[in-house]
Amino acid sequence: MSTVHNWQLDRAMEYPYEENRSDRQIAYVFDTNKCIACQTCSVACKTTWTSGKGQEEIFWNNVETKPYGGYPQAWDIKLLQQLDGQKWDGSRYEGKTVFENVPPGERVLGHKPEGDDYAQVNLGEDEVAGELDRGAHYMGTHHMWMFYLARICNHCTFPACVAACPRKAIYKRREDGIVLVDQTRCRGYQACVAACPYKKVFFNAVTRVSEKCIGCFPLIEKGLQPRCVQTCIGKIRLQGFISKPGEAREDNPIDQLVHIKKIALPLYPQYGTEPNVYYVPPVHVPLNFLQQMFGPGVEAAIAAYRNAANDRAALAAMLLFGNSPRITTRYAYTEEETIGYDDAGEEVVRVPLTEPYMVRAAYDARFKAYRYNTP
Amino acid sequence: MHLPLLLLFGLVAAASARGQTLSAHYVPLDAAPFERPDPDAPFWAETEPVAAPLMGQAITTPSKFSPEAPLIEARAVHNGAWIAFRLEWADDTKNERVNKDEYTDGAALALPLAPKGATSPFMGGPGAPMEILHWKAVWQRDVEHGYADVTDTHPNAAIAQYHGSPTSGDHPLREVMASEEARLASPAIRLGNPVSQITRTVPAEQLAAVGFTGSLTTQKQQDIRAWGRHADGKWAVVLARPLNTGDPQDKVLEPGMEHELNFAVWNGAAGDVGARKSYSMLVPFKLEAAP
Repeated sequence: MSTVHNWQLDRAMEYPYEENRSDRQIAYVFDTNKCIACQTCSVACKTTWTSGKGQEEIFWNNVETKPYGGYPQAWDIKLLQQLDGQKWDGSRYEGKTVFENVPPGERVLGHKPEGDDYAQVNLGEDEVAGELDRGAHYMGTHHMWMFYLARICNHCTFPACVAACPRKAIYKRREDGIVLVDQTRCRGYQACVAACPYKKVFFNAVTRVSEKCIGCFPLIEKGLQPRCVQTCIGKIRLQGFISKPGEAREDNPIDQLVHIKKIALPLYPQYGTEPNVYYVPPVHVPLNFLQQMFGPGVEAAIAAYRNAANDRAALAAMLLFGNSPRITTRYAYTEEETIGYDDAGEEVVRVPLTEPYMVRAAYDARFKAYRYNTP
Repeated sequence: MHLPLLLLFGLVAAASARGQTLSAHYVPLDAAPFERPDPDAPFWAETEPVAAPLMGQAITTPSKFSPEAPLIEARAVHNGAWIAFRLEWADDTKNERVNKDEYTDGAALALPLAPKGATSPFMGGPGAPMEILHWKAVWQRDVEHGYADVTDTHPNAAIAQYHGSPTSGDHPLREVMASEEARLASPAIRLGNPVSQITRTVPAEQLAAVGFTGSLTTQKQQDIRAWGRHADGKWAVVLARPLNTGDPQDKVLEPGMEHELNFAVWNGAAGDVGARKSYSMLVPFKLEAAP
């Protein structure tokens, strides 16, 4: 075991390999408040990468409804039940990660889903957290809550799949931090399937080896964002690269949202893998639920998100979402617009901070008619 | 001392105390029984078996702390040109599929390339490679019935259309895999991963290893033959190959020589796969001189 520093836990932790961060780390921000679970991302991913034999139940990208949904079923609950305590002291995690609470004979604390756990990809879809009281009705605020959680591989800094593979068949690319299963080296032991806390490595029963999200690396190598990001009609996603801890750049939109404004948070950071998909937490969900899912920064993240209209740096970063297929690695903004640039300094996208709009009088004298808002 | 290591040394002492040596008897047979092995061939009854104790694998992770079967019974014959090993062990269930929650039964035999006494039983070590003969029930099923398709694991699957398939609905795997487009969606098959061979003719492979470090590698040159049979709660598997394959990754075996080897078995029903196996210590082994 080596000692590595996990900034999401604000402490050192044990990991089977030495800390050796990639030159660049792929990262994503997903805004859960904008996701409508249309599954366009799931379909885009599926038709691009996993529509072959043996991949029927493989969803590198899925969107599930929380609190009850999950694919494979109960993927997160089954691990949370095994993690003792999950206590935080401020920003420091005091509990044990999946690398620090390893059962005898194992490499990582994990669980192997049952075959049936993969049978229904969208069980629990649109189910809310509880039943409404008799007589309850909509008065501007919903009494019950649910939200959509879009999930892909987190291309973790300290991947549990890499830690668990006895064959060293899984590797993390130096150039972008994308985690890949070597399809020639894997022998299908499924140790990675059991170890991945997010259950984003899947066993293909036809090829008899494990497969996972490849971060659309052929697109990344061309300066283009992954399929799930490009096709998102809700514009909830932005893909870029996150800087190493302590090296955050104000002009990197991912750094701005994750490191500086702390609006976007990692999913289940207590697992200890330093996942690199960061979520803007839903604003309407009970805090204790969100704190377990996104860590202790939830309340501040929601406050910062609500304040984004007054925070041009944050707003300008968030308005880059879904407005270009190309990767924005640097951005700048004026009072009117936000501008994204690629590695070469070429302009990728230009978006107004406020969409053009016009205000019309309530009474149209020409047609002698009143106009009504239909919200 | 570490408890599993203590147990291990205890077993070594027990095995060596009995002083058992696996003797490969000379049989005046042609190549046919070696090239098409049969665990029930009558000549096996004439051979003297050796029973090697099996233990769990607790040296590396993932581990298995207790063996699935207490013993493996080994026999061997050679005809001056080929050698065959017959392994028999108890296993109540026949597991011949792999899936998300299914693992295959299997057996392996490891021959150190170094002279006797120079190798560790843990699949060899740095500078001390092992040649491994590995049979799997899932591969035998492939040979007998064709490579397992989606409908073998999911008989009621309803498929709209696969990537690269010319028409909608399901089609047999080999038909679909004729399309380069379809192979692109099955990268392990497209890239020739040894565990993803859809046209297998031998239910076993020869591998090379230099220890429990992920070093296991399928050899380029395959000289192995194998066949297994499950009956009465037992597997009997024969692994055969020429004494001298001409492959530098294989041990050259000669009539009259003394060597050593060890065994491993996997019980699919217990979730055995990879390092989760039951295995034996190195067993002394000699080839009878040919007349």
